[in-house]
Amino acid sequence: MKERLFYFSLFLLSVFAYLFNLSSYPLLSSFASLINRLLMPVMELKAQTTKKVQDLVNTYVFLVDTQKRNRKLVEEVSTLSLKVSELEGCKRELLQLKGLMEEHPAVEYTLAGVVAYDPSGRDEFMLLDKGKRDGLEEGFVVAHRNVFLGIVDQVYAGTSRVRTVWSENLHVSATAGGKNYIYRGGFPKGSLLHVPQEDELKKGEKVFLRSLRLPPLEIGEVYEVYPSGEQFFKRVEVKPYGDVRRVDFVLVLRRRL
Amino acid sequence: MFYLLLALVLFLQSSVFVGIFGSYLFVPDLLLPLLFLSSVRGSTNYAKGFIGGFLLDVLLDTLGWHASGKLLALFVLSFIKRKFFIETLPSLMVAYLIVALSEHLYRLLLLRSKFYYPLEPIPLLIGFFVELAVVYYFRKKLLKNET
Repeated sequence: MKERLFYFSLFLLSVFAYLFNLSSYPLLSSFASLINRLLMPVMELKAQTTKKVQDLVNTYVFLVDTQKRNRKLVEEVSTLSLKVSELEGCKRELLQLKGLMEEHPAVEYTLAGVVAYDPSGRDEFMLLDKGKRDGLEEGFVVAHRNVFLGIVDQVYAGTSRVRTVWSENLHVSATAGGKNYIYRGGFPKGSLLHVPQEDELKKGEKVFLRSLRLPPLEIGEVYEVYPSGEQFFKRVEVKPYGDVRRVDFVLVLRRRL
Repeated sequence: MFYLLLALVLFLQSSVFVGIFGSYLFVPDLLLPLLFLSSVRGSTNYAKGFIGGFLLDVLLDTLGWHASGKLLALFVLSFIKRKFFIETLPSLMVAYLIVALSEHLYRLLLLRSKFYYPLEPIPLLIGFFVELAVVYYFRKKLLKNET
């Protein structure tokens, strides 16, 4: 009982000490300062530890925030890069359209978009987004600016297939060095057929599509001239200008050869 | 052993936890579980409570705040021990809940009677749950050792 009374009085004294801030009273202040001086190293250690832990916690919180923000930014960057690539695609198409519109031919034409290419990689044909409904017919000439690309060989309701200058099945009449020849397509090079040995075709000579009703369209240029083993003709390779895979829009000239 | 643990608890509570929780008001009071677990069996040792509370007060410069709180907690514990048997883990947890709530409430009231300090319930609750977890873990260990 006495012990409990003693501690109860200690309890009351503690409450009193806290409420009236006894450590600052003149009688006790010297005792308090002595204790403080004795505990100074401990207090310094305590203050340093608190500061270090606080710094660590702040750094951790900062890093977590930064990680979250980084994740958000990465998402934003991927969305933006997708948009940029879309916009670049649009810009490229618009530039192509602008180029086509600036040099539009004198004959009647239809502007068509390319929707598919030859999956074999030999660029032998391409599909256009215009077909019978748009008035396209087989045999129409397909060009890009002043370059001959091919001929429409199959027309469906809403699409059509173009046989390109890279296809071995394409045979058109061509002019080179002031004489007429037959151009046969091919991958990676086309060729001029039945060129007599005495014809002086040089490397780099331009080859044009021959047509009486169409403006002059370039097919390509002579790449190499080989003296053939045949008696009368030599072999002439032609590198076509038409880069099918770079083209998104083409002009379909509404006229046959 | 008790005084070694006391030194460790005082160091943690007065420096490390203050850095983590931001204010000594919201720091989990690990001294209370230590006193509770040391006095829950046998006689209640008020001296240990007062010494622990006093040392913590010296470290935190709050003379009388923790000392009176810990003495009050031991008075409450001694009352509970006289009226109830604390033999199982649930009864022990309930007893600690009562002791801790009365001690924390008393200290908060004492602080608010002197200063105004904004109370944030979430850090307070986190601190309280940490104390409960400490009591649960160490008491379970002790019970295992006893059996």
